[in-house]
Amino acid sequence: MSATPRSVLDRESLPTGLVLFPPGTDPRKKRRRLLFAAFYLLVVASVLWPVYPLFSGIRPMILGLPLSLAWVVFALLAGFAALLALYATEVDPGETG
Amino acid sequence: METWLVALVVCGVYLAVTLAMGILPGLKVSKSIAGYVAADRAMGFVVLYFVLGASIFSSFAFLGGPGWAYSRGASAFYIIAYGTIGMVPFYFMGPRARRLGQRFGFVTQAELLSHRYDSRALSVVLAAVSLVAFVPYLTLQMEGAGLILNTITEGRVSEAVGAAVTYGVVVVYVLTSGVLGVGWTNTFQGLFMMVIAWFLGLWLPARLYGGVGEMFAAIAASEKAALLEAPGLTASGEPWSWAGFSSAVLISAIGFSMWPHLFMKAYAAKSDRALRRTVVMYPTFQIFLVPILLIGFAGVLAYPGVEKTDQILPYVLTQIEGLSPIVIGLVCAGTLAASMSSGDSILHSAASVGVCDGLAKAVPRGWLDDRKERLWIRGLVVVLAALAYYFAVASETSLVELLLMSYGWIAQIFPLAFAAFYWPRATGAGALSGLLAGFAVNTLFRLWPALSPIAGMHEGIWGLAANVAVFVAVSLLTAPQATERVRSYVEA
Repeated sequence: MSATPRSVLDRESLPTGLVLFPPGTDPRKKRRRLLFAAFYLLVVASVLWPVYPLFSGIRPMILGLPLSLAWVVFALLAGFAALLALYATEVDPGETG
Repeated sequence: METWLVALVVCGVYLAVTLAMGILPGLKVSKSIAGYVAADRAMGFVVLYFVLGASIFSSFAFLGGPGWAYSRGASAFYIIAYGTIGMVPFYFMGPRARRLGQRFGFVTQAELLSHRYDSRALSVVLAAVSLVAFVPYLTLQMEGAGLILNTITEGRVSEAVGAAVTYGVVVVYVLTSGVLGVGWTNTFQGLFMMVIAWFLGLWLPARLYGGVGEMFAAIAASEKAALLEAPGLTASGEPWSWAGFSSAVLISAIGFSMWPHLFMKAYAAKSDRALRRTVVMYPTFQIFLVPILLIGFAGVLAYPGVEKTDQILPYVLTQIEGLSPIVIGLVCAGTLAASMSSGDSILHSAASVGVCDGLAKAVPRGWLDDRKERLWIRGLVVVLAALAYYFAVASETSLVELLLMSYGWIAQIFPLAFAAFYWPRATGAGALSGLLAGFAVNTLFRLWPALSPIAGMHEGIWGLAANVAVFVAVSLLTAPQATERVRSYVEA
């Protein structure tokens, strides 16, 4: 925090770091979202170097698709399932986030 | 009747239905900016789902996607990969943007960012960048529409006439109904192109090879096997580097939800729930890229040597035996749907952004009232459509380079949007200088790729690095913003 005088004193109370959840967020919701974020980063990594090169070949063919394509489709489905699961726990329309 | 005539009649019927569906909802929506630009904040899940999905699936997906699969093979999987990860941040940021829009009356992306960062300059910069990105985007959609009509009628309908008729329809329903015209036509167009893509993507391999598995086995056994190995080939036929593939996926994914025409649909959603469901269900739209790429792969062994790869889909249609002319017409209409459902959204957003974020911020406050603003937006719709049409048919200037460059620019908006909600200490000076640094570095490496420390890396990555560094440093060196304002974002 800088020490220069300011007209609005309350500015001093602004945190310097990231605030990912509004104060008072249910800790279970926080945990679920962080868990989702971790899984999502795995999905992101799976379609990038250095993970995707492990699955970039043609064989084995899966359901008629070359492995390189099947892998990307698998990543799509995994991401879809994870977000669907998160959403199922957050359906309350009045919820903030 | 001759094949081309049947196909043309089918396209004509499709255009007439689209026009009717586009004009009708305009009779209901309120005559206000919130009505014209954000559908009175009342769009439900179904329409929202198709608006987002169909806006993204442009004629690039329908013509360029198969073209990539045909000539560059697995590199086309990058389109599936970035869509998979690109929509997810919107699950978290979209509802916040929606609630703030409702509270403060925002209808565009730049309104939110320039309010959070208390900067009119930021708004004007974002408006300028959006317009620079949107005009080539729109131009490509028009070229796609003209091209398909021209190919299907074997040259009887010129590209200029094809583009003029299709986009005449778009301009009429965007003028009368605003975003609701976009919404209802996109629902129709989205369903239509999904059905067409799945049908064609499964039928073509079956017809030509006996099945999808057989098709890939045949390609794998041929001298073109390298096409199937990720990350595929570059446009010139060399193997694409992993640095190039990975960074292209990342930059496109980061920019994905930042495209102004997509971001501002958050304000049209009637509830957080409708918006979240749309994001959650988006992969069901995304998956239809798979059959679209199958169309391109089907051409690899059956029709080698097609030089204009964007034409592989219409080319195959005119060559293949045993396809009913009505089906050819439906595929043609499906391609028009892909072009128009993106073109309408872009046209509508570009005009809204140009007026709400550019003009309204550049003239004295109070000069534009709600009625005048709507009038200006409608005027700009016509001007932008005319400009894009000029580039599409009359000008020799290629805008592809501008469009490719704009993907890197759009990704630079992400740090600002993220920090708006999650980093209270971010300041207006930091945001504006970070954004400008990002644009500058992005443009520098685009124009002189040889300067890049890692060969083949997407220039947007370097732009983002500069952007974040400058954004954070300048924010910490400048006074924090008014707490009340920041709090409404962090706690939204």
